[in-house]
Amino acid sequence: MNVLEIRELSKKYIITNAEKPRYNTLAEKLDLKRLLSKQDKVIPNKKEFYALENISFAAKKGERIGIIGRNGAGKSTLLKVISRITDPTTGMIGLNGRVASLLEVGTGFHPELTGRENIFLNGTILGMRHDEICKKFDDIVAFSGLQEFMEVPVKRYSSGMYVRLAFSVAAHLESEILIVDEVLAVGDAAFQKKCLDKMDEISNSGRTILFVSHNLSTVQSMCERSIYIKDGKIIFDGKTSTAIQKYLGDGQDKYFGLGSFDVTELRRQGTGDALFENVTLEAVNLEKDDVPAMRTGDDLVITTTLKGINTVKDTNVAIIIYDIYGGRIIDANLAIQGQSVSFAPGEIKNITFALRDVLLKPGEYVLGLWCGIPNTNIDAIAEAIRFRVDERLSAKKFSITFDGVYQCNYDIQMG
Amino acid sequence: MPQHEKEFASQYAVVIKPRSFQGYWKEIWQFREILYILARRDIVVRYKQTIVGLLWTLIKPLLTMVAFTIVFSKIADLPSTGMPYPVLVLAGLLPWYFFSNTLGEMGNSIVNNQSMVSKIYFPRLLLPFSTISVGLIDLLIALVLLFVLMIFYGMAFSVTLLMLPFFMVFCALACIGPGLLFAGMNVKYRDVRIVIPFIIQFGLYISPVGFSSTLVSENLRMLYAINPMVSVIDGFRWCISAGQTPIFWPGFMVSFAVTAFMLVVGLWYFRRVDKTFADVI
Repeated sequence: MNVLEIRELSKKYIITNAEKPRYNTLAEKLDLKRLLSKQDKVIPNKKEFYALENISFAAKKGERIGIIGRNGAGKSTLLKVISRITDPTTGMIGLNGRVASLLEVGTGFHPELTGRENIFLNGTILGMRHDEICKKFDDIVAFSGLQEFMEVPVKRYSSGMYVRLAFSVAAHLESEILIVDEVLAVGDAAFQKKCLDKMDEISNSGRTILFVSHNLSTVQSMCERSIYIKDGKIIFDGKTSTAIQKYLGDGQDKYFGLGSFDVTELRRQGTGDALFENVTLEAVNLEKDDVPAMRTGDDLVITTTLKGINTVKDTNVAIIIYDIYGGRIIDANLAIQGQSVSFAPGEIKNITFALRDVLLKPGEYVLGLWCGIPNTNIDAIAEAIRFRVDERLSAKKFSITFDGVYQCNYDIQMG
Repeated sequence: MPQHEKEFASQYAVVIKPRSFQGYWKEIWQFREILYILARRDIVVRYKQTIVGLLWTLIKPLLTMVAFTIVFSKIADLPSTGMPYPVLVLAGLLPWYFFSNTLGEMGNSIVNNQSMVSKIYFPRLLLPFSTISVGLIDLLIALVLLFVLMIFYGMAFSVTLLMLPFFMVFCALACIGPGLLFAGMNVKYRDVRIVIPFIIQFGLYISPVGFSSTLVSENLRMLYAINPMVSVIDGFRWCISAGQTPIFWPGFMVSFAVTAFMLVVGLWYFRRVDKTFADVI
């Protein structure tokens, strides 16, 4: 029996484009002459954008479905429509049973309230009745392992404690359909293991789970079936391993992923005496499978092609890798190694940086290119290529991504 | 409904479609526990630092009462009707604070709970409604102050006091209409946040808080009563003076009509936009 069916669902947003010229003063806006002459009609700076387009699928009782796709692919919008936070533009959703969504746990927590008070607050907001919470209160507290902290305001909790309490409440919801969005990204390993076990238990008791995560190995171990969404459309719906293969082998846009990129049209700044023309990203894939992906621990070979416009003497060239929040993680340049490069007008040079054992954790990163001398940019492209680092599918012992950007190699000794 | 939609709908208990308004009020009833828990949250948070919270509820009207009494009674030399001037002022201040604080909170209720609105579904109307609770508790606490003052001035407690809850409800209703309108508009137009304090301050000047509404000339009283707080404050004074300060009934009807009209407009507007909150916020 289907507990959830989505039929031809679309969600349209209207985006007002702020970059186009606007009328800055009231007088300009009220220019009567222009308003009266019909020829010079103002073109509205509005653009339609489909966050979801023609989505159809059904979920059976007890099924666990993974939903994968890049940031902005429409996963969150889909979950929001199913959980009724936002209205669909067209299409229908049929539900047999309650939907509980954990779009970010701990929503509605109030920092001033104690753990106990927040359990009731959060539980009610998530759709539990008062007597239901009373009945499960002890279980919730036991699951969180925060017995001693129930009378402490949650503002004094550590972020780990906060998440544990929040997930504990959510895990005890008795809805027929449970939507889980990235909740397992935080917390310590033991607690995450507990969460995964709890999810197993939930689906074994016949409830349906929609599971969204960037952590592919968790999706793989949790869900038999997965839906890969790209640009608001379903690209693939079926076996999880196939969905993941398709997802990993799919470049998002012109400047995304591995390969060779023409960067001449990118936004840049500098004197322009020399210009970046091309950049190539190549991962030496330790996995030796055919998926062209960069994975934690691979070597990353970045080759830049520069062309001299005027004469440039003894300049530095750098490649910089940022995390998606703009934090500078890697800066590899010539000067550090005591080198420099010069250009004659029209001269083209390739400079290759071979980064060994790049232990960046799974996630998206941004490559920036820079050519110059201290205090002077000759050519700087802050955001040239975005690329993704995926998880090592082999060699992982525990299928959980921990916070942070750098995965160093280490040994463990226990006494 | 087209045939295929009918067939689809017959298979499922709940069908989500664009702009479906079915069961709006029924759902609010189903989710009523959220109203209670949100109200409780606001009250608990308000009085978490007990001594300060409680004291503040009393100090604010008390100091304002002293200031207003000096300005309106001693400096402007306005007459008091039927009761000592400090009591007259306090009887105006209490409903005014209830109205203005609730209007402010209600107007910001959706924006202040952004994270909830954009992540969890529940009838949005419960958020503004829950803000009434704090103002109501404050009002009840401040009423004690009023009663103490009445005893101090040797005023009699009359049966008309039993009508006080009626005027409290009237005050709340007068607040809900504009409150919902502001709450809804605030999501899309954040300048509303700046406009609300101005309107509240302006409202204080055009409400008979520091003086008796009988000072307004007879032919203007109907016009004056367009502000529903005029009738609410008159009602409060009528209750505590054992009916000695009369209520201007034609004006009362005007206030009542304005309140009802604003209530309908507020509810209509809020209901029209509440589905889009998560997209716009």
